[in-house]
Amino acid sequence: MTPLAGRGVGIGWRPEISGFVAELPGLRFVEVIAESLPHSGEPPEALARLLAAGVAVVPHGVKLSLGGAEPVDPHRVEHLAQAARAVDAPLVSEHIAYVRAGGVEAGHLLPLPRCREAVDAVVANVARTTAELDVPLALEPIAALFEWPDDELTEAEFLTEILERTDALLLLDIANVYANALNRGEDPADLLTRLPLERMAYVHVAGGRLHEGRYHDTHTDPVPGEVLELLGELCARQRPPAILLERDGHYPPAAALRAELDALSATTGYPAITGAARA
Amino acid sequence: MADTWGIPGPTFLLLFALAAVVVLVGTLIHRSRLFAGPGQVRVDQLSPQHTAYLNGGAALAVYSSLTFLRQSGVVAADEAGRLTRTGGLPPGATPLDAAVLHAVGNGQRAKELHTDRSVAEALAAIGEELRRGGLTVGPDVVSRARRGPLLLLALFAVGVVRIIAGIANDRPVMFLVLLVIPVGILGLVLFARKPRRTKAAENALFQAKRHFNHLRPASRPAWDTYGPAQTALAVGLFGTAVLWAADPAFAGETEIPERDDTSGSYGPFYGGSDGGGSSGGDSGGSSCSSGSSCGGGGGCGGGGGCGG
Repeated sequence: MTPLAGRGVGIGWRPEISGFVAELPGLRFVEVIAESLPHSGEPPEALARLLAAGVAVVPHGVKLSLGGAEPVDPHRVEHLAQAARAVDAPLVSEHIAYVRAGGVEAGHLLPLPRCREAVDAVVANVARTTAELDVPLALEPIAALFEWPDDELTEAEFLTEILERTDALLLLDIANVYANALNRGEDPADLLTRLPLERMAYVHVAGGRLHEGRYHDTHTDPVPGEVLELLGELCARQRPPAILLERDGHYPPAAALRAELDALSATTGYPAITGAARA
Repeated sequence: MADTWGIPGPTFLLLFALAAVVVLVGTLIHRSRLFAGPGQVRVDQLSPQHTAYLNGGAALAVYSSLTFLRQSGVVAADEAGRLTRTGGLPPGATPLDAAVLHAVGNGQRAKELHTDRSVAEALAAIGEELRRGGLTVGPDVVSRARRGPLLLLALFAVGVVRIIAGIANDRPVMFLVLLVIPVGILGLVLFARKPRRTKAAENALFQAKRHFNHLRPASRPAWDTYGPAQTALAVGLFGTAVLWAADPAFAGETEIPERDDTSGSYGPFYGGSDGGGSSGGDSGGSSCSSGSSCGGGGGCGGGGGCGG
């Protein structure tokens, strides 16, 4: 049984929209940026109220740098484990990416070269992380605006190998799948067929926008129709246990945000969480 | 030498102290009842503008209304900082919104909006509703609350006369002086102190600030998501800093004073028609609450002739 089974449509909890999230009548799970949770104990009051209402809270790490050549920082791992305990999380998630190298913070999630060495580095770091966690870890591949020249593996091979060797779950970002395929001139549905979809813990859906022929996974724009279509295709193959709308800025009026959530419900067949009647 | 007025000093001192304690305790109980307000005020019974008026006075109510209109996209500012009207009255608008939008159409500046006649009328109506709802303290309640302090001042006057008579009679008056002074100060302080809000209103505001904690500027709320009415409510609860956060260009151009919490004054018309002056709650004379430090006069048991 996957940890978020049947949790349906959720939304990324951010302080900026916490009042909006609190008013979603059918909400059953949210994600919170793990690094935003206080180091010791108590989650923010608004989050505690959601927890009390039975909403599952998934800490989502963005700064662990699992893909770094050097071992993950034990303090960051400890914080992630602590965050999971603080919100009684069913699982936590992080990215297959690196955010620092040689002590320099990139401030962004950077893609790894898809080579065996990188797989080994990720596997070792995931092992170091899961050793401290009480709950499963889901790994999220990131959007890549560029390719490394020495890629030995395809993206599907790269991900499959990491997931198999670490026994981690998959957090699939459907907008990233779309972005990567578009930016490489491939068919996004093609990648879906080659990914280990049975390992899906949940799916990220975020907005983005085309800029100079390349798709940017901005998290600050509406979810494009093409991404929703791809989500529908994913559901036709294997419906993910839960879907999360990620929005990180330029928050639209509540009605627009509700409409995006309802669109996710309509596409995936999960109940609407906004109180809107099922179409 | 005869006792002044035929009453021995220690006896007078004791009677005076007893009277002071009785009047003081009675006054405090009376005032706390007068200033209690209705039993239950629910947060959602108050409109954003009523909340703003309650929290920061008429000025904040105007800024709350202006925020609603601005977030609804019907007012703008020109280069000179003058407000301009760019649309009709949005749905959900209140009488104050209508008056403010009308005044905006007449080219009023933000800081002068309250001087517009229909704006002032709408504000007076809000003030009156809050008073009738027992949320603010009206002049009739204030005058009733002053009966106790007046009694204290009368007691003070009696004490002063006794001191003068005692001095004339060549009797020691030290202890009486020490007793009379605090009675006079208490009388004056309680006479002057009038809370703007009832206890019920203080509680409702406290609850509202907690309930709408996500609207504090500190959590950088997504104002577009919350919409015009909630942004206006946020101004009412947390001050004009909300408008500065939501629309810094507009707030700057129209020279709206930036205030984070609303404990302070918003300008000359703070407090609206109640007349400003003292804000905050009546603390119940905490500086001298029990009477032990200022009403007792217990140090005069044995020694003769200390009370005039």
